Amino acid sequence: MQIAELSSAELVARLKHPGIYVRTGPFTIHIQTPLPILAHMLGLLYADFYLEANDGFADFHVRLIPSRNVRCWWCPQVLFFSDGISYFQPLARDLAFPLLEWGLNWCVVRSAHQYLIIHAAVVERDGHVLIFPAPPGSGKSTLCAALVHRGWRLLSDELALVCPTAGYIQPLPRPIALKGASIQVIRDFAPHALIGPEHVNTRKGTIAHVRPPTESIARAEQTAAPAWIVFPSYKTDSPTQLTPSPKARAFMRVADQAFNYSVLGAQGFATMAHLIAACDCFTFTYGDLDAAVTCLTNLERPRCAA
Amino acid sequence: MNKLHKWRVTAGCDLLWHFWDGEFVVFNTGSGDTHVLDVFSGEVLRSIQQQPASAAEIATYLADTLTLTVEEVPLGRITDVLAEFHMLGLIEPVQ
Repeated sequence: MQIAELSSAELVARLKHPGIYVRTGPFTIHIQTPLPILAHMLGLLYADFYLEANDGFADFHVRLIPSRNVRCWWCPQVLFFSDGISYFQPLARDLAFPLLEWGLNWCVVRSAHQYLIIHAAVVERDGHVLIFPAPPGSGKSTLCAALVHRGWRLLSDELALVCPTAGYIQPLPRPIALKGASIQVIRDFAPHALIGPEHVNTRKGTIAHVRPPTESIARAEQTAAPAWIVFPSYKTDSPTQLTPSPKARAFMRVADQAFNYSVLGAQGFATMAHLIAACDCFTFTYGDLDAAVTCLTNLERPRCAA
Repeated sequence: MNKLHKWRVTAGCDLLWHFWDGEFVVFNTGSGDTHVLDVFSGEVLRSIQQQPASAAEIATYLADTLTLTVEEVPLGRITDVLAEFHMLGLIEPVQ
C-alpha cells in the first residue's frame, strides 16, 4: 500500500497514532506526529512511498511534536525525537518537514555503518550510477533534480550508500532539497516537477523539496553499479567543462565527503578504493543547466567499469 | 638526521596501498589517516615497509626500483621525506 492510497484524514489520524511505517530504500521508518502540516507534506511529497505493516519494527522511530516551552505562545515550534530522544534544538513549526528530512538523514548517517556513506547526489541510467560528491552549494541537488526529470533514476539527493562487500550503490530515494535560486531554475527546467512549498529563513536559506519520480520509488530496492564520479561546481555563465580527475585526488575528495570513512577503518579504505577503481572521475563546471544535462547524459560508458 | 640510522613502519600500524596515475594512496590502520604520495615518497615508504632501512639503504633500493644510479638518488630528499613520515606517525626510528 502506498501513502497516496490513504485519504488526508486517514493519514492525519494514522500519523497521530500509532504512526506510519514507511519504506525508504533499505530502511523502514516509523513516523509519528500530531502535526497536520506534516501529514499534508508527507501526503504531497511521499505519495508514492510504500507503507509497511505496523508491526513495531523499524530501523528508525521518529516523532515530531510541538514544543511546549514558553516560546510556543508567540512562535510555535517543533521538536524531532529519534528513538525517544530529542537531539536537536526546536525549529519553527513551519519547518517541520525540513526538520523531518534533516533528522532522517542524521539517523542514517549516525547508524547505517553497514554502508560507506558519502555526502552526494546519486542518479542512475542504463544500470550505471553517477555520483556527485560535493559540499553544500556546489549545485549537486540542482543537477540531480534536472537529471531525474530527463530520464535518470533517482538513487539519492543527499547520501550515497556504498555496499562494502559488493561495491554496489544502494538506493535511498527521498525528496530532493533545492535551495535559493535553484528552486526557480528547476521550476523553469521541469515545469511538470512537483515542488512543495518554499520554506524561508532556514539555516540554509529558502528551501523547497521536489517529489521523487514514481519510478524511482518503485525501483528503490534495485541496486546498481557505480560508473562515474563527478565533482560539480556551478559558476554563473561558466561554459560546461568536464575534466578527468586523477584517481588518487578523487579518492581524497570523496573521502572528504564521506561521513563514516574513518569509522569503517580498513574496510572504509577498501570500499573507497573499490569505488574509485570502478569509476571514471571528473571535475565538472557548469553555468547552463541544459548544457550540463546534455553533457552528463552523453558520458561514455566507463572504461574501468567492472 | 644520521643517514645510517634505520627506520621502520610504526609498531602496530599496517599500511594499505593503492596506486593510480602515478600516485600512491596509503591508509595507515594505526592512525586511520590516508595519505597521497608521489612515486618517490611512496617508494621510500614501501622500502621501509619491506624491511627497516636507513636513508643510505633506501637510496640503494630507489636506485634499483627507479633504474637510477645511487649517485642520482637525492639523499637530502630522502631524509626530508623520512622526517615528514616520522612527523605523520608513519615511521619510527629503530632503537
